Amino acid sequence: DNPAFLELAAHDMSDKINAELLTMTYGAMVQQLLKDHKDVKTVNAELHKMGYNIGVRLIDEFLAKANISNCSNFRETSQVIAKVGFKMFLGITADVTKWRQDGKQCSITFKGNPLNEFVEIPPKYSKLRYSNILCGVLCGSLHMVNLLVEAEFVQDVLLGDPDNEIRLTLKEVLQEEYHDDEV
Amino acid sequence: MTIYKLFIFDRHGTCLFYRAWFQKPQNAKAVEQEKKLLFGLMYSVKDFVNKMSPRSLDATENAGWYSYTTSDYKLHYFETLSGLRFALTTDPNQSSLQQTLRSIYHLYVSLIVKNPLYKIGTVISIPQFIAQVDALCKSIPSP
Repeated sequence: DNPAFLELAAHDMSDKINAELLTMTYGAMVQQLLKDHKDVKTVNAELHKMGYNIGVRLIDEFLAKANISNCSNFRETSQVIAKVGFKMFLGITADVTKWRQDGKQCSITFKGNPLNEFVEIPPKYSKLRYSNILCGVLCGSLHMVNLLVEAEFVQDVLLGDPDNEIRLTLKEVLQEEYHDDEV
Repeated sequence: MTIYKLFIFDRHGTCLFYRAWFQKPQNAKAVEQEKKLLFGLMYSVKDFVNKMSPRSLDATENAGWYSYTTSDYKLHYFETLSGLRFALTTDPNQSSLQQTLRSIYHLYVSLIVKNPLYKIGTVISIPQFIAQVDALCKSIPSP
């Protein structure tokens, strides 16, 4: 499977919506969450949870459209996420870097983030992970293909970092199980 | 073209969708029994074909199986990486229906997964989906 080709195909096949509409809606939602919860940590968790629920559904759209086959290891999986997944749903490509020796942790880095447009974070919210929803999406969708991962923003352009960086850690590869309820 | 039944199971073995176009009379209990048996079969065959593979497969890899045929019918099988399982039974002479099952998967994505009112993992009762699946299955060319 040639990633460059997949990337193109993935991009062509998805319905496009106005990026500004998404950005504005997302911004309004984060703002409302901050109003409702007042606590930045809760907001981060809430965004993560929303993302998870999106991911659980998104995975099927991804698999149906991208028509990819099994990834043989976590390295391949992260490559597909960065090159095909990010392109399909965000219209940007990301790079996979900073592999830990054991191959169970890496970073997905990307320059532009469509969610970030027009956004400024006031200093009092410096702990806010504005795009934490993306981490949730990664966790939710990977859970559906039996990969238990943790995802965390370690760099965010909005907070003055040069790059956006999500650290992805593979916790466990789940085994498929089926319990017969009739004994 | 004779299509008999369609089953869709989720990763936990819940039957999300069942449609019989043509079948011998059955009561509800027998249908439930059939779903359970079928899921058990799918699960075991998958396990079995992987074990029988001449190559050694690593944990995430799957040999995959596509169909089985009896003298009376053929069962076409398609499984997604997210653990959804599709099974369609037809006339035994029918050629491969992998593409049709894939199209049903696409319908599932656009009409079910993207429907915010549908709760993941529950039985599908969305009329539009049923109608489109019907239309798709009716359009399958004869063997």
